[in-house]
Parts: sequence; C-alpha cells; structure tokens
Amino acid sequence: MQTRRSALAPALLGLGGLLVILVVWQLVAVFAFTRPNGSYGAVPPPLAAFERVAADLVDPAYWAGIGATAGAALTGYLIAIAVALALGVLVLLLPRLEAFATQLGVVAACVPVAAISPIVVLLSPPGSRAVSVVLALLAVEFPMIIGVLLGLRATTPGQLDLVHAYGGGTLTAIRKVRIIAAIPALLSALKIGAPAAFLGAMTGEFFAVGVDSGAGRLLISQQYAGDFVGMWAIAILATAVSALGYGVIALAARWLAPWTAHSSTGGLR
Amino acid sequence: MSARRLPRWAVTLLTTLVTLVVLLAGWQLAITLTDVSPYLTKTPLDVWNYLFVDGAFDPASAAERRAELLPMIGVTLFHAGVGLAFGVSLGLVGAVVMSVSRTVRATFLPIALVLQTVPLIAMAPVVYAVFGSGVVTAAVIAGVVTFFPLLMNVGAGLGAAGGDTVDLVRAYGGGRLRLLFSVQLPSALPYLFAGLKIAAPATVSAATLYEFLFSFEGLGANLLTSKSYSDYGLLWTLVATTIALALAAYGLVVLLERLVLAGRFPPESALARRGDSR
Repeated sequence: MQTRRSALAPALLGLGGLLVILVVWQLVAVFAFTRPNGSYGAVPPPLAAFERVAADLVDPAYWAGIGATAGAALTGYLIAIAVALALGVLVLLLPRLEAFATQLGVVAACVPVAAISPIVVLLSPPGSRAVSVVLALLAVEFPMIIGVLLGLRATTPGQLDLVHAYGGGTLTAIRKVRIIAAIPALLSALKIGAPAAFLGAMTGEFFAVGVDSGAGRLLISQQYAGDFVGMWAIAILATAVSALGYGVIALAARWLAPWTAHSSTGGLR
Repeated sequence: MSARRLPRWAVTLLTTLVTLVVLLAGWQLAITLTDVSPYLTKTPLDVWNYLFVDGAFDPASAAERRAELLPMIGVTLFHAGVGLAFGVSLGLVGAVVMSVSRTVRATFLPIALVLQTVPLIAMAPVVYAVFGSGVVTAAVIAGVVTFFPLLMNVGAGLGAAGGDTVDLVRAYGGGRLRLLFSVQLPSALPYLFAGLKIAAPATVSAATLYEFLFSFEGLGANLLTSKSYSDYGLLWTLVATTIALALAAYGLVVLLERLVLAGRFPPESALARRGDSR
C-alpha cells in the first residue's frame, strides 16, 4: 500500500500541474486576450485550440502539409545519420579524429538558422525544400555524432580482449562486439533526433521560396490571416508529430533491441 | 601517443584551429571547384576582401563597410544578451525552486518536459502578437531557448550533491538554505556550464531569428534585406559574422568554464564517465 501510494503521488501531482496550466491558460485567454466583441486574441482558450486541432485532423490539406514537412525532415535525418556513421568509421580507423568529429557536431549545433537559410535558398532552385532538409540535418547532426562516438566508446577493453583471445581479428571484434555495444547510444540519439528534425524542417519553410505546402507554410498563412486559434492548433499539432516521431523510434527500439529498453534514461537530454 | 603530452587547453585550441581551417577550406573549394555563379556565391576570401580590402565591393571603402556592420552586430548582441540574462535567471530560479520543493517539482517537471518540445518557430508569432516588435519580444524568444537547458541542467546539478556531503551539513545542524548555498549550488557549477554551452549559441540563433522574422535591425534583418537587394557580398559577410558570433559565444562559455572550474572539480572526462556508468 505504502509503495503504491508513493508511486501514484507523482502522477497525481503531474496531473495537477497540467490542470493548473490549463486553468491559467483559460484565465489569461478570457481576461487578457478576448476582444470586447468576444472574439479571441493572441492567446485563445485551450478548448477552442483543441477543437481546432480536432477539425484540422479531418482536413486532408493538413495531412498533406504535415506529410510534406515530415518528408523533408526524414531526408535530413537520414543524411545526418549517414554523415555521423561515416565520421564514426573515420574515428574507428583514426581515433585521434574524435575531437575533430565532436567539434564538427558543435559547429552544426551552433549555426544560426537565420544565417544558413538565406544562402541555401540562394543556391537552390525555387520550390525546393532544400532549406528544410538542411535545417533538419543541422538540428540532428550533433546528437547523432555524440551518439555514434559514445557508442564506439561503449565497448570495454575486456570484451575486445576476449575476441582477440579466441583468435578473432579487428573485423570480428567490430562485427560481433562493437556494433552491438554501440546500439543503445545510437538508439537514444535517434530518439532525440526525430523531433528536432521535424522542427528543423518546419522552420525551413519560413525561409523557402516557392514552397506552398507544409506545416510551417500553414502557420505562415494563418499568421497573415491573424487566425490565432489556427496558429495555436498548428503548434499543438507540430508538438504532437514531434512526440510521435520520438515514440515511434522508442517503440521500434524496444522491438529491435529489447535489452536497451531499461537503459534508455539518457534519452531525457 | 607521444611521450610529451600537450596540455589539454593546447589540444583543444589545436583541434579548434584544425576544424576551422577544414571548414573554411571546404567552403572555398566547394565554390571554386564547382561551376556555381561567382556573382551569387562568395568564398571566405571574398568575405575577407569585403571586410578589409578597399574597392572590392560597394561602398568602396572597406572601413565604411565595417562601420555599417558594427551597429548590426551591436543590436544582435544586445538582443541575445538580454535574452540570455532573462532565460538564465528564470532557469536558475526554476531549478532552485524545484530542488527545494518536491511538490513543485512533481507538479511542473512533466509539463516543462513537454513544453520544451513546442517548436520555437510556432510560438514566435504568438509571442510577437502579444509583445509586439521590440526588445521584449527578442528577450522572450531568446529566453525560451535559454530557459529549458538551464532548468534541466542546473536541476540535475542541484540533485547531484554527494550524499555524504549532505549528511555532513545535516550533522552540523545546517538547514535547507545552508545546504543549498554551501553544497548544492557549488556542486551544480559544472552543470551550469553544460547548460550555458547549449544556451549561449542558441540565444544568438534565436535573436537573429527574431530579427529576421519581425524586426528591421540587427544581423538577422539585414540577412533578409541584403538578399532582397542582391547585395551578395554583404549577405555572405553577414552569414560568416553570425555563425562566428554563435561559435564565439560557445567558445566564451568553454573558456569561462575552464577558468572557473580549474582545480575545483575532477576533470570533465572523469565526471562524464561517472555519469555514464549510472
């Protein structure tokens, strides 16, 4: 009984916190942001925003938009993985390059989107989603590189000695030990990267020229129309899609590599 | 490994220089080896010429061009600085409150975890609609990207004080505040810097994003206008400047970390390894 109550208490408090936020949101919306004629201002009440989310969900234009953004995000995500793995192979061959690989990741994480986007737009044809792909790539690259490097370090010397003692060479060690030892760190990087890639791709649509579909584009058009309920609905939808990306990879990880399910607390940061 | 090992700061400095050279050379080669238009694309050498060689671009005097650039940098630094101060103070207060009260922590930590995934680009128009154009909007947008890394990292740092040290304070009759100021806050210092390493370049990025979207001043806004005026020399110089600013912000935090933490804590690598095994 005692243990059950202590396990239940945080969940209840968390629920209470959610309630507090919703109530404050409602009060702010009604008392600070409702116009005299009763229409909603910059902060609409939560119910109105969620009603709009429900309405958006049955609108095929929203599915097409979110799909287009997710496609660009996926492209950037896959390129980022390929780059990180290539760097990982380099570090495996030449361990001294590790600091260099980390710094490339730091640079990718530091590059301001407002700086890189104009030149990507300049160099890509109108209507191209290249900005979205590049921003998704940059958002994901640092966690990917760190995940790969942590994965390479995850093998203990004892495990390698065992392979060598049984006559295994470097390749056997990589195939049988190092790849498997690297999987938890890789999976946790893949999880962190999924939401970041979608948000990067969405940000890219604010800079793209000649691109007229996507979650970011929907947001821009609602911004022009002053449709605040619609803007909040898109923000909620984008958060949900990002969370979904994280969840799908977490599920896939549990299915593909069940032994990592408990060691994935590192996913928090 | 060579017998005579270089000190750690020298290795870091060397790697940083190598990384910079590789990136600059890659930029230069990517443009000279492909047949992209030299009118649209500028190389690092062009940026150098823009900043320091008379006559290469318009206006003719390089000093004049630099004089136009400086106020833009100043505005962006102001926006980023105010945002950083705002986000860091809120993050610190939030982390301390969550450390002192378990109820507050359990109530708001889950929400903070969800809120930090709300896309900045989706909230920016709402922030703009509420606060209008000005330094308050810049501070809120730049503060948002600072707040969460600080809250999470400092929160973890306050919880990382060793059990023995906590017991020691208790045994000598120290209260909650004594524990906070003598043990928890000092032991959270490395985590504070870990948070700042994410936050400092992110505020530069957020400040320029704000300027790009909603303002007519600063590096971000001029990135937009120089492109629409086809002033590509200025555009590429602004791109290089903005990226350099973000990297400098990161480097400054690393430098501060080295200076403040020198000799007080076990080396970073030892700390990280201890964290891994848990």
